[in-house]
Amino acid sequence: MMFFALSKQAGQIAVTNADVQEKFPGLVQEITSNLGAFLPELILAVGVMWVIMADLFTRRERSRRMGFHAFAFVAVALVSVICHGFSGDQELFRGMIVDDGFGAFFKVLLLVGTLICIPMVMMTRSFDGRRMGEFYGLLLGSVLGMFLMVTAKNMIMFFLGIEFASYTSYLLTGYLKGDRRGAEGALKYVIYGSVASGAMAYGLSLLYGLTGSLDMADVAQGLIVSRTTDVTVLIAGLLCFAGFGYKIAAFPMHFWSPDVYEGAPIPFTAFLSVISKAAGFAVLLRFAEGMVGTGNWELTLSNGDVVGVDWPLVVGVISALTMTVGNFAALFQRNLKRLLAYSSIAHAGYLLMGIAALAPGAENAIPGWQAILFYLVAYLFMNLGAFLVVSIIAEKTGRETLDAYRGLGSRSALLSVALGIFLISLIGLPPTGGFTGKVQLIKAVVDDGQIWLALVAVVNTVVSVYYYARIIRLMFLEESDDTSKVPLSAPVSAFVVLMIVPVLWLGVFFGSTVDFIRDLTLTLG
Amino acid sequence: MSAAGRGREGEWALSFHAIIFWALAAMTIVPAIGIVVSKNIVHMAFWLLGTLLGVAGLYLHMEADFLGMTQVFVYIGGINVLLLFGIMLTNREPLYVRAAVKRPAIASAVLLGVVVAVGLIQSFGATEWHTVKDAVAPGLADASAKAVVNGDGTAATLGTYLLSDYILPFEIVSILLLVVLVGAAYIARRDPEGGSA
Repeated sequence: MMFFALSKQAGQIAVTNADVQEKFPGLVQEITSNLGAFLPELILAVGVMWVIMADLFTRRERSRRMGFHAFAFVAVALVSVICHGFSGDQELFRGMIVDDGFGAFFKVLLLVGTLICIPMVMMTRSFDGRRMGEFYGLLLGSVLGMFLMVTAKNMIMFFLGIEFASYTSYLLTGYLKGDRRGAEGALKYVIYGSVASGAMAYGLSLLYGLTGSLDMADVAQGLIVSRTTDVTVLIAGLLCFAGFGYKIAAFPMHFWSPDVYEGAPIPFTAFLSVISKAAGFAVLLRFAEGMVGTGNWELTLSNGDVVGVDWPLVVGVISALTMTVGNFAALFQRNLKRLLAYSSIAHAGYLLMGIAALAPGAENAIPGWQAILFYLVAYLFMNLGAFLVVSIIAEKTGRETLDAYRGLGSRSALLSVALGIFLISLIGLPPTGGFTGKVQLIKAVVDDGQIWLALVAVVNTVVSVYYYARIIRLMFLEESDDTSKVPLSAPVSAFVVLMIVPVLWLGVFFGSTVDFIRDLTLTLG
Repeated sequence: MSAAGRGREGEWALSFHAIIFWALAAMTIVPAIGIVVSKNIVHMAFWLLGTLLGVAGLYLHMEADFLGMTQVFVYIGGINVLLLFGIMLTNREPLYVRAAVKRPAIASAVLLGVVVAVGLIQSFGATEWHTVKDAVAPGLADASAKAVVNGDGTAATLGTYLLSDYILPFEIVSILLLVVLVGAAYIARRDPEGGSA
């Protein structure tokens, strides 16, 4: 029968323009009117093509200037996001993506992070003599993919956004082609990434089969209306989580991250550990809001049985394992990039606490997702700041190991104090953004009644003091044979100071940020 | 095609479908096992051909004619042939893949596979699935449902949906392909200043 259908179709054009007009009245007008809210993405898409094309007309030794072009496009995109505002509340492109405060917040976060990473790339000497047009093209493309992740409403966009961000990340990890560690990292990244995406695609297809829809709001409704077998919902959810968990480097999908972080160029490691992770959390939050946040994951049947997958418990267990694995593995690292990789796994664990407490039971409680948003802002500055110092030290000394930090306190006061502040913030001690952020996350799970998870987080924080404080001790309490000052140019010093300010600001004057996040909307449609 | 519940004719049609399905399933799975078991990489590539063909057959059997044909064009005509070219151009003697894994590892992998398979079959069997006809939301499901009912191919409906409801993914994929092509060209390019390509 289908062969008959094929042969029949070959002879005719099945759909005419009139059909389209009849089926989709006002389609063209609708899509055109959506383009206004899509402006930042369009700017990035033009930027991708611009830097690649403009690089062709630039001499190789001037190719690094493409960084200014990329910076300009990101800055313009940032302005357009802010001008568009945070009060949007509409679906775009027939429900594929949404324009809401949550998405706009993440877009600003991603763009600010990229604005910090681009100068770091321009400072890195290992890129000298290479054509940089492709690098910035891929970087902007990666941000574009993450924009789709953070605004996605349809499961197709979840998948497409994650794939977009991943493919570009594989290429950027191996951008220094002669570097063996880079090549190894890129290859491991590809293999883990494809397995994770395959698992996620399978999970999404199961959800589609259960609910008959790809739209996250419909899926959320469908899972409530049709009480299907919980085991299948659990399997589907866990398979999907494989994809999201790989993006945020959560246990047990974290194995790629130490090798990739160590192999990738430092600025891109910073990008992966913060920006890529933030985008991963955004898409995971949208997914989890559909699966859990509707509050109906638990249903009491007429005979008194309670059915439903206990998602808060599942996520809580993953969160506890992630932070424990990250922190304990970090204890034994000698390479600072690798140490920060494990520490970023631990931070993914802390952040997952917010997802475990997505639907707060107590009145006036902070919803978990708002705690995550605040923590991500703090994490953006403290982790990028730490990577900035690591990058500067690696440029000056050529080393990434802990030995390079011995006696740094007497060699460069600014760098050592800055790194000290970033590390204190990563531990989660006052008066830094890391402290206020972690308090909110812990408060969210306590309000939700998951005391055990809060205890695990506190114990983990104590463990993490050991390896963070060891770096601080090396810098200030130990002597180095090399006592020469580390020279810093004025712009670089200013850059470092600029990173310290928000970390301390968020630790002291956190109220305005908390209020801002409270007013954001997270729509599922 | 939903002939179930129409007396003997319906039952016959149902069992006929079942026979085709199981034949296609065997055609997919047997070569898949062949890929895992065989040691010669050329044999693996040919086994893969069988699996891909079986999957295309499954698509066609589910009346996803466009998808089935795309599977044949892209995977068999493109990727598999490319794979064979790659093997034949890079190796003059047959390449054998020696399994570096120990026997206990293989045993535990087989055990895990069986457990997962049984678990999935158990839970999926007890699940209430939604077919394309009772989809709760419009979209692709709706499109393919209509095509199935009308007996048309799905290509026209898919095309309409790609340029209406799914226009954003459609356009984004083109940007994605552009970016990835540029990246692939960069990785494959030989650097003039002596960086190993």
